[in-house]
Amino acid sequence: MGREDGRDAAASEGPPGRRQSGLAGFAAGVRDAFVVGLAVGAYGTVLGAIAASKGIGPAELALMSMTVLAGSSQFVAVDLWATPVPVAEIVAAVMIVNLRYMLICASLHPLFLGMPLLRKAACVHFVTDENWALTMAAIRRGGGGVAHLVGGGAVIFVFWVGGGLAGLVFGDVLPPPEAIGLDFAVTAVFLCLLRGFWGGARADLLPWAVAAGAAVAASLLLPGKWYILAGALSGTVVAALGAGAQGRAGGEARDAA
Amino acid sequence: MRLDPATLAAILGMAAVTYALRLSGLLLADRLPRGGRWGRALESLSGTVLMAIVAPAVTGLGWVGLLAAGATLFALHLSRNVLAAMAVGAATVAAARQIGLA
Repeated sequence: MGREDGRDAAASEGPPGRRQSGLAGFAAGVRDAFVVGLAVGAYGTVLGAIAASKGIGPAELALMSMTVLAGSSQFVAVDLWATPVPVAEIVAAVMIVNLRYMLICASLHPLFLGMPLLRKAACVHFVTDENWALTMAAIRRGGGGVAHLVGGGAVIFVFWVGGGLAGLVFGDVLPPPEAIGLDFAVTAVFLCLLRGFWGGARADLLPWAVAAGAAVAASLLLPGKWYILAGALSGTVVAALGAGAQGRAGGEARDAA
Repeated sequence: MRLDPATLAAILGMAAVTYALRLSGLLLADRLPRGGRWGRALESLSGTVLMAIVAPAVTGLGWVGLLAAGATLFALHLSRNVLAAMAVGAATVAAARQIGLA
């Protein structure tokens, strides 16, 4: 994921969805996501170890990881697991944790413009926090696209499912990821990507400060993962109300509201 | 092996709500106006969502989190390489734990 890989001139032409299409885009997505995938796999082993302690079998865990493909919500679900299985409670908790995917996938819509509904429906399953952020970063560099997104998603998918199964089988012998700081690894990558998203103080300072402040406050005050939604929505409302408008649109020349 | 019906129901329920959230976000955004306030809101989402994930993750680790975040960004500034910065950030947290700071 070096910053220096220059994307070719084709990046600036054609509709957004074609920025980096086909196999080349997919391969770039795989490459960009590989090391982050290792960290995701390490966390998968933790999930697997917890799942084993709850009596969840390999087929069940693999099915869950493949069909849900959303890490933190699966930790919450496995934590709630009991006999008999509290189905409604688990599904409701997962929904709350994953509400942010509405925002994440909404932010991806320019990539999918003009794509047939069935392909949209197939690709959107492979959106996770990690490959979404990587693809948004690639777009900033002039690359990215749906193929890149799906390539990254495929890597996360393989590591997440594989890590979970490894943890289920070998959970007792694996070292805890915290020992080598792996719990911070994905946060560190997100920080770097966020640095790349910075569009200048006039556009982003206030929305980002509000998002950070609201998220931290909500993480202290509210249970579970509501803080992601609280922070993101607060910051986005500030951006929509125009705090960021001057910076992006250049003063008077902003869109007619 | 056979799957227990309640287990299967829970897994499929989890999958269905998660998939519905992903698809509805994408399809709803298609229907929103591209300019004006909605456009600015959609455009701001990548920054604000990521910030809302990252900020509590950093502050949740206390001073060590802030130190590691600073070290990560400094390493990014020097190396221009996300993976090197990631390694520095993770190593900072691991080292702080080794010496009992976290």
